[in-house]
Amino acid sequence: MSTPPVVLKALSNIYPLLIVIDQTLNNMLWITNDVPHIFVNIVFVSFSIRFLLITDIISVFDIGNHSLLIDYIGLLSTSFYICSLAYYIYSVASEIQNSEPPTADDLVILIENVQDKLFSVKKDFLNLFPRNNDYKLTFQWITLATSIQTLIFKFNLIPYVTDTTSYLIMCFVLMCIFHTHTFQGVLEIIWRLKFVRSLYVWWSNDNDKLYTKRQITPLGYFDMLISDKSYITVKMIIQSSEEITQFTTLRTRLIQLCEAEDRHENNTIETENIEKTPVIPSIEFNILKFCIEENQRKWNNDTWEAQTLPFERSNFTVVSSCGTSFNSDNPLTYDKQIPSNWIKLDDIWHKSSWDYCNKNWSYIGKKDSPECFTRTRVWSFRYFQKK
Amino acid sequence: MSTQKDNSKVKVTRAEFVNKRQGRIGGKTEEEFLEGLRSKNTNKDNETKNGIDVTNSNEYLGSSPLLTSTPSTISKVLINLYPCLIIWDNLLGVLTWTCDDIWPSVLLVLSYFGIVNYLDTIVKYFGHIVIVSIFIGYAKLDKYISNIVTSKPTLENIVEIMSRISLKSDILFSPFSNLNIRNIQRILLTALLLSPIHILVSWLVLPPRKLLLIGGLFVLTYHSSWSKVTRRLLWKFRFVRLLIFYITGIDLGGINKTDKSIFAAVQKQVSKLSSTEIMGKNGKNDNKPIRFTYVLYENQRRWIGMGWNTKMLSYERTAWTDEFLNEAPEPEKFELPNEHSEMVWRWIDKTWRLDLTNDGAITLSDTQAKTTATPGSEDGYLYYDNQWKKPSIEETFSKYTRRRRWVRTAELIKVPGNVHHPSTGKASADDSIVEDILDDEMIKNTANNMVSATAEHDETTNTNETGATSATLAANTTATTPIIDTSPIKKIDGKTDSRSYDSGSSTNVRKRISGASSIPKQTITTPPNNGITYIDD
Repeated sequence: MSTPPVVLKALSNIYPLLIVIDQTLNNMLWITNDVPHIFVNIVFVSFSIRFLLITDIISVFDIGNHSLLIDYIGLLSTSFYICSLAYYIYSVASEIQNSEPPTADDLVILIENVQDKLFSVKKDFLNLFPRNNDYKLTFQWITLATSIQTLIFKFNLIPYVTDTTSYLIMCFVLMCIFHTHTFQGVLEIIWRLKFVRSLYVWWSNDNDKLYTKRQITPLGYFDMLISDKSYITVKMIIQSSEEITQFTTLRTRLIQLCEAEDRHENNTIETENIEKTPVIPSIEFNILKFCIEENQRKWNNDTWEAQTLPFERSNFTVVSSCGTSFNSDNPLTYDKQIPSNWIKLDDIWHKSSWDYCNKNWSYIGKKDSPECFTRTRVWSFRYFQKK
Repeated sequence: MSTQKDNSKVKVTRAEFVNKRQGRIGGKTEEEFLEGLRSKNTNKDNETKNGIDVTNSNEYLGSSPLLTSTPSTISKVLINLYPCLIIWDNLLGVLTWTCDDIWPSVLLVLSYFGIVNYLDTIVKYFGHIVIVSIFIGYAKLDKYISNIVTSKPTLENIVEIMSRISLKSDILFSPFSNLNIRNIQRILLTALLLSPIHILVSWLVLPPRKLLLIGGLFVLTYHSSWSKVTRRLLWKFRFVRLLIFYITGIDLGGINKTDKSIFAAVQKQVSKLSSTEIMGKNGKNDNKPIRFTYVLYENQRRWIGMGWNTKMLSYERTAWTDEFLNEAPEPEKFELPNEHSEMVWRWIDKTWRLDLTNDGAITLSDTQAKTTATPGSEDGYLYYDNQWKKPSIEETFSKYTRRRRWVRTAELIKVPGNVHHPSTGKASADDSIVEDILDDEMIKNTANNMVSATAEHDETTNTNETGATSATLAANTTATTPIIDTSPIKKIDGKTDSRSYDSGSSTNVRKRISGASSIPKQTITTPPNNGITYIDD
């Protein structure tokens, strides 16, 4: 399938602009090979800011006292920077005119590049200000910024940053170096500190959705399941006396029924057929299923440990039918606390396979990968009693 | 019954109209397409009366033709880019003043004005709020973008918006496209050389903050219509042009009164001469050739460590000028103008020749040739001081500039009656025809005649040489033949000077001279004795 000329023409028209935007983003994100060029640009712009913000006319007699050299460099930087911008745009335009026109592949690749880079910038912004930010967060930020501003201008928090010029240069330089490897590396190291993360989560009020301080005991969980009527009731048609007299047979039969019941939930047609079957002598049983999520986080040396961060879900959690989450005890302690009128249906706790998630507990896949930092699995155990 | 039927038809149509297919990519086109088909089918139904209701089948028709013919990779990329395109479009619209509503642009200019004027206050008291606002604004913008993505644009919309953006970006970058590397180099050089003056100006007269304000306002309003009008008005003042030239070092045209002044002066003289003669002779001077000696000055400056060099200061004359110090092309790039509709230029001299007398300033013995086509690298120079003053023929320590004079004579002939060039009279594709018309013998004759003409010409020159005159326009006053001209030279203003320049071997007529195209053979074979007239500018 060939691209229609209309689309190709529109794309090729926009090509120079895309190149300029792409290059600008490259410089912003420091992903160009010519790193010294970015550095030179930063120096030029800083000197330009210093020069262009001079407000006062000075007296002829004071010229000797004035910082001649820095002003001179500022003027040269300004003119040189403007010239280099003009030259860049001119050279892009002339090169596109003189070289071979881009292919559709070139255009697509360039657009994808631009999109990816814009996405990176967006991610950085939205880390600080979520898209659906509330007034509380805005207020927090303004309060914090006001405090810093006061400290800077009233109490000289940062050396040499005392006036508008130095403040603007500082902001510009910080903005420029934010995406350098060094700065990002330092941020990563800081991010490894637990209290920093806790502080961030407290600040943005962005706890893990299963984070809770409420603890639930096995008995409490049991009561909750009973009160929510979260157990299922199965009718067992008595086909032979062994099913009642021998415990093993009964359990096997109940497990089969339980699984059949699960299937019914997924397949309504089958349920209808089963309902039509005649049921003659039967006994009803309640089957109760405990489901406990086990959560683990990857720590140093790629080891999975039960310890999680203070602002996220604990090692074992339980979620009620209405979505409330609780911290739970280790499932192995459940045996002793369940009332004796409920009989174990399973021999051991059944454990599902691990679901590997990213650092925010969002599901990624069934296998571990470098981007996975957390994992969860479900422990389940069934009890039954005669209704 | 018939009314009921009509009503039902109307209802059906309305129902279809209401039940438009909802939002897939290519929606609008698709709807138009389907509507078109519906109307077509309705017509068919009306024609057949008992037609089957096929309108429902339209529901299964394909989507936008553009979408179906575009590879999915490209469609996907474009759809993802669409939100950014909308933002860029708005941004460029504001910067280029091409939005329907100009108030955002006005607001931007006012904001800029306010920000620069009250920058200290804003930064000190509201700097943090500005930063936070930028972040919040970005978050809101992102939300806006994601809403747009869900609005499902058509591919036609995307193509349209891309065309709009490219147009606007062309407008935005148009000032840069007029620049070239030389301009940029000149700006840099000016900045470097004049920076002490600029610094002084910025200290004593115009503080940089004001410069920032004015510069920013200039840039932001550059594309507004009233700014364009103002610029156009201001550009009419020569003072403004000079000011810009001195500030930037770029000749944006119009520093001199006219562009291409060397040619303009010639044209002026030619038209003047032509008109007076036409008036005097009632238009019977069709084939009168006019000779003009083009003069180029080669200027050089001595740089410490580099010696003599064609690199000049940005504010002074260029390396090559005409006699009025207007910038002129180098001899190799010098082309005769071919603008006059009925007249054509051609060279008489084969090459540019150095005037060894440098316009009469250097005295030579009578036996020496006054011009030469192969001069030495140091020949014919007059040396000046740093200000292009105090000329001397000797190079001393105080001499930092020098120049020498190159000349070449050309001839302007009238194409008789435009017989061979009915439409334009210019040298054009008819060259090939000309070459066919002029046979080799004719060219030989012409060349011989020109050589003999030169010999006479030289004699006259040597006997009558008096001194400096600059531009020499030679007009054939009797002119029955346009090419061969052996006449003595006299000044049109009645002065006795009739100095001309050795044409030497340059009188070979080149075959490709288009001016000869329209000359009939018989006129060439009889060379007349024409007087060449000089005009001093």
